[in-house]
This record gives sequence, structure tokens and C-alpha cells, in this order.
Amino acid sequence: MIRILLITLFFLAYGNFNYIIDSFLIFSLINLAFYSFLKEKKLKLFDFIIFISSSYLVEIFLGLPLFVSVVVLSIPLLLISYRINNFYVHFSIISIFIFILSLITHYLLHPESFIIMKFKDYFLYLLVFIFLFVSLSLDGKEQN
Amino acid sequence: MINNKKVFLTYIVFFFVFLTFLLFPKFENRTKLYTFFIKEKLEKPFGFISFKTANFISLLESNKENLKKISQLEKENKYLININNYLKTITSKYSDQYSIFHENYPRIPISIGASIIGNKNLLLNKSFVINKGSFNGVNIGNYVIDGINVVGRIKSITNYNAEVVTVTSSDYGDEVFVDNQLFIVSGTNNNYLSFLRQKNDIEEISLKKNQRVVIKNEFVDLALGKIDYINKQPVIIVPQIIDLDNLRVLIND
Repeated sequence: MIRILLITLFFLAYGNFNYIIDSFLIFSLINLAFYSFLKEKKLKLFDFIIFISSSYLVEIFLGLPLFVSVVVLSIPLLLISYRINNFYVHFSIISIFIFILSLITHYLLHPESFIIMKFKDYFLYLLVFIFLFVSLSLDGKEQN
Repeated sequence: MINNKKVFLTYIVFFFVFLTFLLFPKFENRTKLYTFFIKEKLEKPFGFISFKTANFISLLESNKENLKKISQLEKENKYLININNYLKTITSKYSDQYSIFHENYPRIPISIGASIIGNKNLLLNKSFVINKGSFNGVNIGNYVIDGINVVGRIKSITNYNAEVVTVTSSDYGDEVFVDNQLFIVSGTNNNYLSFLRQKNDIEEISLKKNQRVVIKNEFVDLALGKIDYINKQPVIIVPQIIDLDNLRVLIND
């Protein structure tokens, strides 16, 4: 539910603030999509819908072909999820992995923002990492 | 995804949607447009609220600034009032001079000089002609004076000349003040004027010898003569020595 709220919030907030915030919102949406896809071994419909909706917003905002990420990215992500969730890996490593994966994806999709942003602007991204870490830890407890 | 049938079905659906969008870009563009349309519609109330909030905050800030400015101005005003009071105290010794030069400064009536060009010896009808007329601003009824003594009044005018009837002429009549009492007087073709009647004859007439008789003008009181008695009748004796070469016509009476 929190993720849906966040997606709605990002959907409304995009374009109303400065370039750095917009870039941060895109990054957060990418992160949400990856997190929803990779958090569990068995992908639930709800998580998949969240993945679709967040990736849809990224495509809309960045002007990419619609649902390209659902069709193209799902297969490699499924493989990654299979790899990650079949081994006993600490959630902190998973969170770092998702964070880096999101960062790389963000760079590939929208490299201009990385050129414009200053060093201090990256601290916002750290916030995403913290949230990712906390949510993964809470999700782990839930599963136990 | 393989394990979950619903997820797989969703994937298939989106796969075909993606293919449709790829083949028919028009639908993709429309979808994007509709999304942005929905975004705009959803943003509106938030935009309105944020606008109102920002407005309210700016109003509060400006109010705060204005209050600060008002208090600063009040202080400044108080300081200036104190300085003003101080300066008033210092300059109070000059207030008498100020009143002389500014408040009670006598207003001088506008007059023009005139020379007698005809009937100077006053033989005929006790009147004479001056070299100023309507083109010089002279009007019928204007006083002709020598200093503050009334010599006569303009009887008739042309463009460049005017006929003056002297105060002693029987054609002359005027309202005069004796001790703030108004009288109507008339010339007698002699060197005195006689009283016709008191204008407000409620009070008793109490005229004394040598009382000044004046004609109230807008700016100055013009002297006509002094009270005297001939056969126990009060008359106004006009001054005998009148300089007819130094006449002026009051043109704003």
C-alpha cells in the first residue's frame, strides 16, 4: 500500500519541482520497480502490478516506448531474482545490489541528470538506499 | 513468474499491449496524452491548495515585515516629533518676527496711477477726466485715491479715459462707516458731505466732532473725512489739501 501511495505521490510531484527532484523521483520509481520484482523468489501479482505501474511512469516521464520494461526487462530480472533469492544472502547486500542496479539503469535511461547533478545532490539518493534497506529488513521479518 | 499463473497472464496481456503500441504508435501517443491529462486533473486541487498556502505564507511574511516597518516608522516619527518640539522651542523667540512677516502681512490693493487730463480745476460739476480707461482695468465705481484719502469714484469710462466724480460733488453718494456704524452720505457741491440716513436706523445716532469717516474697502479702509457740525447738523468735512497730480485708481475694489 505504501508503494502505491508513493507511486501516486511521485506521479503527481513529477514536473512540479526542480530538475534534481525530478531526477530523484525517477530514480525512486526505478528503485521501487526493482524492489518489487526482486524482493521475493516467487513473484506475486501485486508486486508485478507495482513493477508495471512504476516502470510505466518512468517510461511516460522519460518518453520511452510504453511497457518496454515489462516485456524486455522482466526476463533478465526474473533470472536475477532467481539467483538472489535462491542463495542465502544478507538483505543488506541485496539492498546494495538493488541500489546499484537502479543507479546503473537510471544512468542508462537518463545520463543527462548525472552530468547536471552536483555531489551534494547525491545525498538524496542515499535516502532511497536507507528506505530500501529498512523495507527489505521489515519484509524479511514478515516472511520469518 | 512461471510459478504464478496470474502474473504470467498479466505478462502476456502487457506483451500484446506493447506490440500494439509498437505497431500503432498513435495509440501509444494517446495513452501518454491521457496519462498527462489525468496527471494535470489530479494536480489541480493540490496546486490550488499549494498556491493558497504559499499566498498565505507570503502574506504572513509581508505582514510581519510591514509590522516591523510600522514600528520602525513609529520610532522615527516619535524621534522627529521630539526634534520638531525642540526646534519649535528654539525658534519660538522668532515667532513675533514670523507673525510680522507672514501672518499679518498687509495686503496691498492693486491700483494704477492716473493723471487728470481734463477739467482739472473742478469748475464744472465737480468732476474730472483721467487718462486711464477700461483697457487699463478701470471699472465704473472704482475709487480714485490720494494716499488713503478718497478723491472720488469712476462715473463713466471709455477705453482709455474715465470720468471721476469727486466726493464733494452732488452726484457722489456712498456708504461710510463712523465708529462701525454704517451711514449713507452724499456730496453737496461744497467742501463737505451730508448724511442722508443711517443704514440700520434702530440705534440712535451719536456722532462726535472729528470722528473719522471711512469707506470699507476689501483690503484697506479708505479715509473720507472727519465729522463736523454746521448749524447743528453733522457733516463730513473732506481734506482740503489733495494732491491731484498723484492720483491712483483702485482697480480691485
